[in-house]
Amino acid sequence: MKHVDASGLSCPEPAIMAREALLTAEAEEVEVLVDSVASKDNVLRVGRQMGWMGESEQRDTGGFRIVFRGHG
Amino acid sequence: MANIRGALTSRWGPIVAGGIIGILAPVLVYLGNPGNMGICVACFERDIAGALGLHRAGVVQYLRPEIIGILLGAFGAGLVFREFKPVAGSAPFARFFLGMFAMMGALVFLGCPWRAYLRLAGGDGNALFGILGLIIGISLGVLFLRRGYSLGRSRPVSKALGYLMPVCMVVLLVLLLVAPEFGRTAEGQPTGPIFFSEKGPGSQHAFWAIALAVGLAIGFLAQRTRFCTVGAVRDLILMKDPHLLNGVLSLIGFAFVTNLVLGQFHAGFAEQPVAHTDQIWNTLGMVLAGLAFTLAGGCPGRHLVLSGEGNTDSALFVTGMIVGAGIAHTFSTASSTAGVGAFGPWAVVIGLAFCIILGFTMRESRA
Repeated sequence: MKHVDASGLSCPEPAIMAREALLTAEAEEVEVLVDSVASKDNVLRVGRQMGWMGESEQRDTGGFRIVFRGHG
Repeated sequence: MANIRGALTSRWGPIVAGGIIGILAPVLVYLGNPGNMGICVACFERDIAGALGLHRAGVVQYLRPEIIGILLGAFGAGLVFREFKPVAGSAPFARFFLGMFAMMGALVFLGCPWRAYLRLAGGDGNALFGILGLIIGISLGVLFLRRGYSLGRSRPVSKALGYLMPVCMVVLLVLLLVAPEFGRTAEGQPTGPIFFSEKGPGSQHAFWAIALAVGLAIGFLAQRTRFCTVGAVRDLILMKDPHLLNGVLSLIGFAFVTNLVLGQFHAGFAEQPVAHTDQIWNTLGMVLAGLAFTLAGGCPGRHLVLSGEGNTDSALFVTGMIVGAGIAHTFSTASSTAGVGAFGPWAVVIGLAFCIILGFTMRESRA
């Protein structure tokens, strides 16, 4: 699984990092860590536009962990 | 509540927010705000700087309730929807200077991106050059972002620190309403601490409660929808994502129609309200503003909203904008209807140099 830690980074960096990771990931799973709802929504939207299925769950630290699976 | 949350955070969110802003801003003009200036985050923060005595330009001094409302509306939305997250620590001093230079660039054009779009919707052809400059500046910012530019990570901080900026806004509101006066000179001029323009744009304002209410509504909507007039152009260039741009187009469309209905649409270049026709500097001023906003992560309205959500790095950007407005008028870099200020070009050149250096030197490990 590819890991991307975008915690604490402000717009648009989480979306840029997610996009770069998804572009080079091929068939892997990609995990993205963010720490705000807005970043989570942005990252999910980026993934959706690129054809990836993304699911998010809340982390104990108050942020979110997004996992993209299988290019759709 | 769940449906509201769903609608505003969906792809329709920015369109709804832009539309409502596009209607309310011209209405504020109708109710007394300066021409094509229903909402201008830069101009209004400049007026606040004047009201606080940070500059001596007598025609632009007023504690604009719209700014107070936007921040507090976003603060309220953040609390209700549990998105109030105090953070700090992402290159604060750099952000302060970005705010300063963003303001100085905007004051060369005489508007922030919100006002550029509203001016266009009012028929002001000079805004075309400002928007051109904005697009160029944002594109430059995108180049830096693609190269790995970053102001670095912020970290969570205490709730108390997050409350500080909203509290400052409440204090400003109290000062607006109490209007304290320490005394007058022999000629009868007030000596402060809070100044109110008696003529010029600073004296043109809608009734404070209406301006505040509109600000609160806009702040709430902008927070829920992540409305951002700079992200609108940036995301299209960077990721071919029109999500935020739809909001800007909606704003222009609804503002245009509202202006027509209210008889406020006057197409042309000359004699436009609070505008000038020096197109080179209309463009270059907004190149600086666009670049600075992009390097700071958002338009000035977005930073008001983020400040309301507890982001103290954005609060410092806003503070930099207010201080920058003070400097802009004291050093004659701000424009007027007569044209560019004596040192406006200097401000643009120095500001661009600062932003370019920052763009090349700021990085964060993005492992």
